[in-house]
Amino acid sequence: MPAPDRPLLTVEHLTMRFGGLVAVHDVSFTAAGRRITAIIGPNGAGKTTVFNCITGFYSPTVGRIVLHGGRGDFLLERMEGYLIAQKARVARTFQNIRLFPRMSVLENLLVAQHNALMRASGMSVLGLLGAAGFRHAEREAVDHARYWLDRTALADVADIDAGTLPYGAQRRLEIARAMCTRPALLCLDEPAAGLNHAESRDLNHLLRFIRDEHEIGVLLIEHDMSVVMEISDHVVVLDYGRKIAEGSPEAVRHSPDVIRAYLGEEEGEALPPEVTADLKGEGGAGAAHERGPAETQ
Amino acid sequence: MEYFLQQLINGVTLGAIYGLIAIGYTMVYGIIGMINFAHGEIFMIGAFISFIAFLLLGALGITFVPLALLLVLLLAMVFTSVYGWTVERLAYRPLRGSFRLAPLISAIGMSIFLQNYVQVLQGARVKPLQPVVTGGFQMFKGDGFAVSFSYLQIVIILVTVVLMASFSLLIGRTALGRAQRACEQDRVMTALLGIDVDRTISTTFVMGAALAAVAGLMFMLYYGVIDFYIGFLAGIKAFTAAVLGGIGSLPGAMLGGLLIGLIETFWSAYFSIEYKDVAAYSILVLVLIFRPTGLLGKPEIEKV
Repeated sequence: MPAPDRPLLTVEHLTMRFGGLVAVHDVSFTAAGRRITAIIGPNGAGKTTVFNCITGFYSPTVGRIVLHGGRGDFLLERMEGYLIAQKARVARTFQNIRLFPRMSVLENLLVAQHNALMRASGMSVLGLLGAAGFRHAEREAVDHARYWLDRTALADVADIDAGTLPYGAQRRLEIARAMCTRPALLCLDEPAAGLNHAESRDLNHLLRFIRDEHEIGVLLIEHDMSVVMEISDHVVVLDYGRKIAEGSPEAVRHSPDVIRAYLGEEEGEALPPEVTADLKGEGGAGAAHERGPAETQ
Repeated sequence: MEYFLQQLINGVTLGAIYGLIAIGYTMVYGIIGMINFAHGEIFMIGAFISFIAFLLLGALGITFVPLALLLVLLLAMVFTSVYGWTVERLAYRPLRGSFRLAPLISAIGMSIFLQNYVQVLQGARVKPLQPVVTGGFQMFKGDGFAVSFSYLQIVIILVTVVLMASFSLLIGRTALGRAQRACEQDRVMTALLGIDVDRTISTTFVMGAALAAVAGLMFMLYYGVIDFYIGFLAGIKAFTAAVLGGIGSLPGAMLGGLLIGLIETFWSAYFSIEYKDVAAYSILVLVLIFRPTGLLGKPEIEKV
C-alpha cells in the first residue's frame, strides 16, 4: 500500500485534441493513495476527457499518465483498455450507468472478478468438471461480492436482474462492481448525479469507508458541491480544458479564479452573501454552479 | 403408429445435428451481433477432418469402434476449432469497429474461400465412407413395419444431449460463460473490468466450431457421404433453426434445430420429399410473422 501522500496517479502535461478542438490543454496533477481527489469544473471543462484518457478510451495527444502501483509504474497512455483495469488496477464508473442489465446483481459482481476465477478454473475447463480449486475460488469470489453487497445495502436484491433495480441502487451497484475488481485507483464519474439528499449522504459514507478501510485512491468528477466540499481531500479545478486551481477544498473555494470560472464574477467585485454561503456547501445538495452568472452582475 | 414413431426417431436425430450447428450461429450472434456466414463451411470442414481421421486411424489399425469414434471426435473438435479461430482472426477481428456490413462481407468471402479450398485439396467428387456404427434395436414389429432405432441414432442423440448440457453449464455457471454474457451486453464495460474481450470472442468462435465439428462427424456417419458443398445447405438450415428458436438464445437454438429436423422428416414421410425445405421455411416465415424474436428469443426493449 502506498503511504498516504505518495502519489498514486501522476498526470503530466496531458493534452487531448480532437481535430481543431482542444478538449484538455496541458493539465498536470497528482492523486494520492488513501485520498479522495475531486476534479471539478463547469460543463465542458474537460473532466470526462481526462477520465477517458486515464482509463484508456482515448490516447492522449500529448502527455504522460503514470500509475504508481505496488509492483512498479504503469504508463497508462500506452496500455490497452482492458490491461489498464487488469494490470494497473484502475476501475471506473460512468455518468450514465453501465451495468449488465440482464445479469443478476451478484453476477455483475462476479464478472468483475473474472480474471482471478479464470486462473483458478484453468480457463473454465476444470471448473466445468467441478475441480476443488475452482469451487474454492468461486466461493471466495461470492464472499467478496457479498461483502460489497452488504456495504452497499444490496444484499437483499442479489439475485434479481441488475436492470430492474431502482436508480440509486444501480449507482451503488456500479461502485460495488468497481470495488470487486480490487482496484488501486477508483475513478468515479459523477457518482452523486441524480441521487437525493439521503442517498448522497450515504454515498459520502461509502466513499470515506472505501478510502479509510481499503486504503485506495479515489478520483472523482463531481458537480454536486456539497459532496466535493465535504469529502474531498484534494481538488483539481478545470475550466476550458486548463487547470485553473488545485489544492485543499478550503483553498480552492476561496480561489478567485475558481469563483470567476463558476460564477463569471468581475475582478474585484464582492460576492453576494447567499452565493458565498452556497460555495461553502451550506446550501445543502443544491449545486452552487447551477445559479446563473447573472446573479453576480 | 409405427411409421410415425420411426419418423419421430429419424427427425430427432436430424434435429440433433441441426441443433449442434445452430448453437454456433446463435453464440456468435449473441456476442458480436453478427451472423457468421462461414459457419456452414466450418461444419463441412469438421466432416472432412473426421473423414481423414477415420482413414488415418484405419491405417494405424485402430478399428475398435468406440475408441476410434472418441479419437475422431476429439481430433475433429480440435482441428476444426483452429479453423473457427482463424476465421474470426482473419475475417472479423481486423474489421471490428468498421461499419457493420464489412465483417459480413468478409465472412461470406471466407465461406467461399473455404469451399474452394476443400474442393481443390480434396477434389469435387463425393467421399463415401463405409458404415462405422452398424446394427440397432428392433423396437417392435407392427403389421409389416418394424420400428428400428439404430445404434448410430442412439450415439448421435446421446452425444448431442451431453454436449448441449455441458455447454449450457459452461455458459450459465462458469467464469468464461459469464464473461461471454457480459460481452454480449456491454463490450466496453467488460473491457473496463479487465476482461480481454478479443479473447472472449475468439473463444466463442472456437466453441461454436467445436460443436460444428461434432455435427460434421455425425452427418458423415449418418449419411455416409460428404462433399465440399454440404456446408451450404446444412448451414442455411441450422441458421433457420437458430432464427426459429430465437437468435442469441442457446435453448432456442436447440429447440429450433429439433423442430426443423422434425418438420423436414415428417413432411418427407407424409407428403412429398421434394417440398421438405419449403415446409421448413414456411414454418419459419409463419413463426417470424407472429413472433419476430423467434420462439425463445427475448424482445429487445429500446429505451428512448
